[in-house]
Amino acid sequence: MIAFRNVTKRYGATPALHQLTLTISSGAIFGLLGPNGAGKSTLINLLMGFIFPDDGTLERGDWLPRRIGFVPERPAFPSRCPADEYLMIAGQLVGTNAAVLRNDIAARLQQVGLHHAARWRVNQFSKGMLQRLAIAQALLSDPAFLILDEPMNGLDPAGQKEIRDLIKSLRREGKTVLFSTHRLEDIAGVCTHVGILKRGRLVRAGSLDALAPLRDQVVITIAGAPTLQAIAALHPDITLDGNTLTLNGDAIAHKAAVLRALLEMGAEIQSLSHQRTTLEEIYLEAMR
Amino acid sequence: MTRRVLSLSLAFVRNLYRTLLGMLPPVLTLLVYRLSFTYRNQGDPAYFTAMGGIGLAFVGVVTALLIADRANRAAMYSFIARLPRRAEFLFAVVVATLFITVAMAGLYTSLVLGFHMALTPIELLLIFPRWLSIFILSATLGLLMSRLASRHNSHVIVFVVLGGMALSREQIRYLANGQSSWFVDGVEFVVRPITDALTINLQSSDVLPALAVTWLYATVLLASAVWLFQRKDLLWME
Repeated sequence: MIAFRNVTKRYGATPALHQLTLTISSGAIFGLLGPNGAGKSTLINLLMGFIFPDDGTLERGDWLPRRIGFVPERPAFPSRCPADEYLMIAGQLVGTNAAVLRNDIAARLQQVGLHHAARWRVNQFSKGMLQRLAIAQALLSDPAFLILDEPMNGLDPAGQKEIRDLIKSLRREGKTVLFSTHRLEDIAGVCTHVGILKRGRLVRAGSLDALAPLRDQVVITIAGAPTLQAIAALHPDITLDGNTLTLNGDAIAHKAAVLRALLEMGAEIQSLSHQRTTLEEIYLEAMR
Repeated sequence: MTRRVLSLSLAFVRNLYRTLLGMLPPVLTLLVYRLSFTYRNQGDPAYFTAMGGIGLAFVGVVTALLIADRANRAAMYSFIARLPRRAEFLFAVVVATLFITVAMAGLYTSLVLGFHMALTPIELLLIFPRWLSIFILSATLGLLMSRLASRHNSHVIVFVVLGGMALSREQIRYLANGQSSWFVDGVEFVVRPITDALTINLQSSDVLPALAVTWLYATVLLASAVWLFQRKDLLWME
């Protein structure tokens, strides 16, 4: 478990993070969301130990570098270094046996679609390929905790989907992942937990389930002006406003019964929608 | 730890030699050779030990600065993230510098032995530990002079101190109006073991205290670099 407690970080007089308190549990896929300059990379750099907090404490549990995979925001590589040589150095630093490492490197390059470019020098790589190489490096030696700073940067839509699928597969393997992004679509369907940063402050944090159900309702609009009081009386969480029925809370579970009753009384259903608070709404509300 | 430091130091060496800057240590070594044997075609072991030691120490400082500069870049984030201790990163810079400086010592020695003088294997064996201690000192000094290990521009202070020490005794006396200066005495006291390590008769065991003090200096410089680097915010640029 990782715990930031009242962590503040300043660059000169400029605060990058202010009184941040955040816990990341083992097995979570934690998406760190925020606009550019919100403090996402600062939080990740603190966690990686590249920089130190000015105030507050950071607990990193049983942190072992060999169990951590890291992709920086803008991956950079030693100039003119072949991809496989770069991965070999990275693997040797965590003490992986050379024979095991060679197989691991081949598997990781295959996983990120760079198997054909193993001997290419990094200066021959496109931006997307460099990003994939950084991800291959992070996956070396089977890390338990992956920290990915804007991992979709520089990738085309297909590449972004591959990374989202990869993160989902890591979730199934029980790994902990922290990744930052400023794109909402990277979070939805991938993360179990979300933290939203705004100008160095954590304005929302928690599981998606805990954040999402701010609004969850089924709205049914009936054509004409039939008498709907009998339907509204089916459940206390059903409200009637003119020719619109709104099912809230437990009443949502009775949606089928309500529809059946409407059809039996010959009502013409004009529209039906299940409205939930979207992550976008949560984000936009947090940014206000 | 040894394996990690060796892997990283070899990566540093390869990284340097993939750029044109990698030509600088051999070019400087050839320059040292030309300068030390321009005015005399024949040398003796004492001359070879002193001139080679001083010249190659300079090559060592420059090499350490080159390697530290290349290690002080964003390309290294993924490597340092994998080290359990930051100090290992600095050890690797020192070891990489030593690899290159020792190779340059081989080049210098080959040229001198090929064209100017002969040395017995025993003499070479007696020279090597003297040079090695000077090389280690120059590698750690170069590290401390680099931006990599610098905190709050501490490397500038190192340059200023070295600049002060480099002023000749006469110049400092002149600046001090002919008076004996505590600074001159202090500099002489500090530098004496280093000069002794290169100038005391090859066969004499009197060199051992000088070598011990040189190693002590190197240890203090390395410990200072580690201390500065340990709590430094690493905000490397691409």
